[in-house]
Amino acid sequence: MSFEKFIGRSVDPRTAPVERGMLRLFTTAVGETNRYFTDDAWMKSQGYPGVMVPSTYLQAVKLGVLPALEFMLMAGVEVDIGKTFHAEERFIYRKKVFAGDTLTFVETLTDIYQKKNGELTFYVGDTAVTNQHGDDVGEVRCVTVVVK
Amino acid sequence: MSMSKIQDLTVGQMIDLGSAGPITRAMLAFYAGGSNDHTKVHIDIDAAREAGFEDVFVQGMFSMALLGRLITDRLDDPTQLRAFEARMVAKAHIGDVLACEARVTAADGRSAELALSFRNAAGEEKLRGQASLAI
Repeated sequence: MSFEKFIGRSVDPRTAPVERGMLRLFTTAVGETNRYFTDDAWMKSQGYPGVMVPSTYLQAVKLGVLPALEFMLMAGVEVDIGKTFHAEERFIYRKKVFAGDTLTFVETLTDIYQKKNGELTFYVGDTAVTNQHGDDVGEVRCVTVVVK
Repeated sequence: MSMSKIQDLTVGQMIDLGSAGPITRAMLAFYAGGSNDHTKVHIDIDAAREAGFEDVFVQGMFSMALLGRLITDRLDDPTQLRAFEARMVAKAHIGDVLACEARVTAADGRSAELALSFRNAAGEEKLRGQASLAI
């Protein structure tokens, strides 16, 4: 199978707010006590607009507007949910993201590769994340594996 | 890092990042709501059994969020974490206590790279990852 025709295709941009209530549910689930993520008053006293988001939270905001397999479906990949698994996730951080920010996500299918003689096919989605000021806040990479 | 600052890390050094858990059903339910991941096999035992699993199992991204917490808890400022990645090696389960020992793989006095292995009490690896730190 030739994959070249799929690579480089991007999903249309999606925009989502970083909601305080949802962030609080996330930090409760994860057991966060770090004041950078949980103490709005302290963060304001430090000159920030409020709490910032924890290390993996960009993926959660992204998931609300950009379902996990959409970059594959958009590229025309036929997806069998029962054989599709989340393989890897990577974050690169360039700027703080705060509750109340509005983020825009653009995901591109950047690579497809196989392992184990074609038994496993990996699809790499790279998402550029910008905030309401147009600043590049970071990147999210999601690698999905489809088992033959 | 609170036990050793980034500038003091040396290649080959092992850092005990501590542990998270035991993981409960309530945590998975809260995480589903707080993360936009509404996949039923993580929160509904009937759906999990219908899909052929004995029980609900942990969202891979929840394990990664716990690992992220253990890392940022050790930093003076969470923005010292510049990059973070993990490979989902195996499913984690209800009751698991996940612990991480990190190995310093690069260090230059201003930045450092950590190799991460997130394991349950039986020593089974659930996530394998990497973190990039910088002052």
